[in-house]
Amino acid sequence: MRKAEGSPEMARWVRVLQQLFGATLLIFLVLTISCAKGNNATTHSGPALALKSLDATGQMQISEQDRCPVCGMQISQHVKFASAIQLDDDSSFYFCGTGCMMKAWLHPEIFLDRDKQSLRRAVAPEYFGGNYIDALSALWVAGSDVVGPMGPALVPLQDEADLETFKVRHGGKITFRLSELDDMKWKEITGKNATMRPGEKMMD
Amino acid sequence: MRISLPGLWVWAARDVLRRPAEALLAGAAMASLIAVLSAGLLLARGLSCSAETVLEDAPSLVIRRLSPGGWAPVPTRALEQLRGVTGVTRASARIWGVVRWQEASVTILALTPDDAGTGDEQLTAPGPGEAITGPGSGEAITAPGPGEAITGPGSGEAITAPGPVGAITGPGSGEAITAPGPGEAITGPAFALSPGQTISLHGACERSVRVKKVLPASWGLVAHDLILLNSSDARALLGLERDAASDFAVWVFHDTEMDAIRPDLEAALPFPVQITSRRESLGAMMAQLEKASGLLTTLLIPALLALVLLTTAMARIQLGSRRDIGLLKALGWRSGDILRLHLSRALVIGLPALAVGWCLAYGAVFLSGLNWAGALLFGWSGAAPQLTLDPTGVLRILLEVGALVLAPCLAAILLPTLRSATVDAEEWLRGEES
Amino acid sequence: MSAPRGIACRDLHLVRRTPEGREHEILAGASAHFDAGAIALITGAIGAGKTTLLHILSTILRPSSGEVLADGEAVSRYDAAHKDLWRRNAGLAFQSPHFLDELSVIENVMIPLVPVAPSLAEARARALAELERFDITHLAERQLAGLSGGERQRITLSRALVGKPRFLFVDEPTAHQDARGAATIETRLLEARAGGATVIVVSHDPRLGRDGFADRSWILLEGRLERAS
Repeated sequence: MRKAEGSPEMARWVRVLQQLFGATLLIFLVLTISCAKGNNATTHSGPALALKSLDATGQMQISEQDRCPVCGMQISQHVKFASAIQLDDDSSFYFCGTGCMMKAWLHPEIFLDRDKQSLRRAVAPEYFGGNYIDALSALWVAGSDVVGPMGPALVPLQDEADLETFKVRHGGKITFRLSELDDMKWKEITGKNATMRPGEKMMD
Repeated sequence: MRISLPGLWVWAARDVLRRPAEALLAGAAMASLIAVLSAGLLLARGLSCSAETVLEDAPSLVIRRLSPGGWAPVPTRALEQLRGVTGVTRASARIWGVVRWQEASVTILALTPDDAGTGDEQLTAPGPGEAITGPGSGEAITAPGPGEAITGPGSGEAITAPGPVGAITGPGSGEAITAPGPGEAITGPAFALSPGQTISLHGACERSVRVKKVLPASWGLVAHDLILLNSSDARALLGLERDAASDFAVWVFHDTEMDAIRPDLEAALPFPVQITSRRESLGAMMAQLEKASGLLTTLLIPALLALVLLTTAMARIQLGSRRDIGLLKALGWRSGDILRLHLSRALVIGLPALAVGWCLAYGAVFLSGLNWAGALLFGWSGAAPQLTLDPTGVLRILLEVGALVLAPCLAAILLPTLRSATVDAEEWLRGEES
Repeated sequence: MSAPRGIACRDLHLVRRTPEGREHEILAGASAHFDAGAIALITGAIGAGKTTLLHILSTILRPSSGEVLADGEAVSRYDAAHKDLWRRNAGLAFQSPHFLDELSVIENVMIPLVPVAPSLAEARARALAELERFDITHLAERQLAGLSGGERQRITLSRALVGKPRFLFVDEPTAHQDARGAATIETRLLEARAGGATVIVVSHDPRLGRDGFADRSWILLEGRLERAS
């Protein structure tokens, strides 16, 4: 009598445990897959492009949701130093400042998930007037008293005359062109590695 | 455990109404304290917020010419030299000044560019430093402040120069206003004039102009106490030559240039000048506001202490004797019930007082035709300008003031209650035996 | 084994210090069991400590030693907060009644219901019904000042009964009452008993001692309880 009562009870408990185990396994699987997917999303599709690319005249068209692919800052909060890199397919990346743009220019494979050949041009707002100029033709000054969104600014200037005025007003230790820039030059200018993301600690 | 808050709330309300005079006194004291404190802070917030909106398009620098006797008019041809300085993105000459109208000083501003040589001239009004100081009181206008474009709240869009036709677009609404022709005026809302009226202005000469339009309050702080005139009238009233203006307004791209560019600007002009940056005038204005609101807060500390004292006294009366609490305990009330009763009593007075105080403050600053708070705290007169406000800022101020006043009062009520609520039921018998 | 329902006391002692500094034992080992659904009448000489015993049984007063059990629970050992909570099951009608003088009669009767009733309106309705049972509805909105001792006694009883308590502690319920008033009060207490309450009445009124009002009578003699019937 007792046995006859006991076995259905036991069977019920076994079923409950099986279901619980199954459910746990399912939840675990779902979580694992979604996490993996999340990781894939960031590594494969790359950082987000600007919502609106540079226009025909090379002007930036900043939207509220545009974020710097290097440091993650909102571009619309830092319009005065905001710079851009346009790709061969006409799309653009927008950066919160000139420093972030240069790092991406040097190492697009790290920061943009693109190879160097796909970069068409870079633009930056010329210091005195705010007009967007070609970053390759600009004269760049480092080590002045001008501060950008990420600390001491790399300042783009239009010509030699502006450079002269700028140096009188703000100083400046190093003058360079974007075409001369490489990892060593970057380290000389900023004291940091060009491959580091902001906030990362130097390993060596 | 069953808690019936509603029953207890009603019970508390009846308790409060048993002493209506005391409840009214405490409520009125709390409400007025909240009202005064909130009004002061709201006004300061509204002003700084409005000023920030206005300043978005304000010139970076204002240049005035110094002469041995004070200020001197600037020659408009010097604009070319200013524009030649590296870093100047825009420069314009402004025609504005203070004249007399009916025993009062009023600010006039020319709204028509008549200078063919400076076609891209931006029409700008005197700076926020002046406008803030008080509608109606023209005194501070004499101080040099940076000018800015007339902007409507929210839009941030400057009224740009009307070109040859002379039409300007109003802020936000897109309402077009035709610049006043000779003999015509557009007045700010502070003067309570209506279109068609003729006003007689006294400056270097006397001139009667007909009010063509009255700007609505939504035009904000800057246009509030301005009279917009045709430049020929303005020049005549201010005694300016045809090629002279009151001052120059200069814009730069980076804020860091505001200080760095000064020596070059001074060097570019053939006469001594005083240059004021937007940052300086904003700082001066903020300092003034901070001083006023700091003074207000300091003055209210004794009032707050008095209120706390009053609340404590009231709480003690309402608490009843230890024997009364012992009786409640004997009849099945718990310490929590007694605490909740007193909290409810406090809130029955405090919450309406808070609401009344907030409404009074908001109304005094933003709704009434005359800005009562401005009149009382800053000595303003005349109709109030419409202040721009961010809702989160207002909410924060109201909550802060509410907490500042209500929290000490609640503490004053709850602390003695906490001590008494733990009275043992046995206390009841002590009373009985004695 | 289930605990016997009702109130029990075991070996209660209470020692008080007189103003002269002598120790005086009011209770000297009082033990008894008062059944649920029954009326227990405690009598004794004036000054025998009847009222004090009632205070201890209702957990208002702490004994020097011994314990009080309610439905088998040692309520005399509860901490103050738990005693307060337990007292929601108890109705207390003590001598020389104390009220909150600012409140009206009906509000005083409502007091035990305020923290527990779902709404104040319901508390008021129940309080009014209770006043009616004691024929004093006309006093509902009056203030306490100026009421007679007999009226106050009935108000106290209304307040004790309004929460439909499971334990009722009543001190001299028929004092200041005429024959009719005494009869009304007797009826109310009998109703409470019929409802299953444990009713403990302290009195030296001979009217209550006769005609089988109490199910059991006790005499407090020299600090101990002795069965009288």
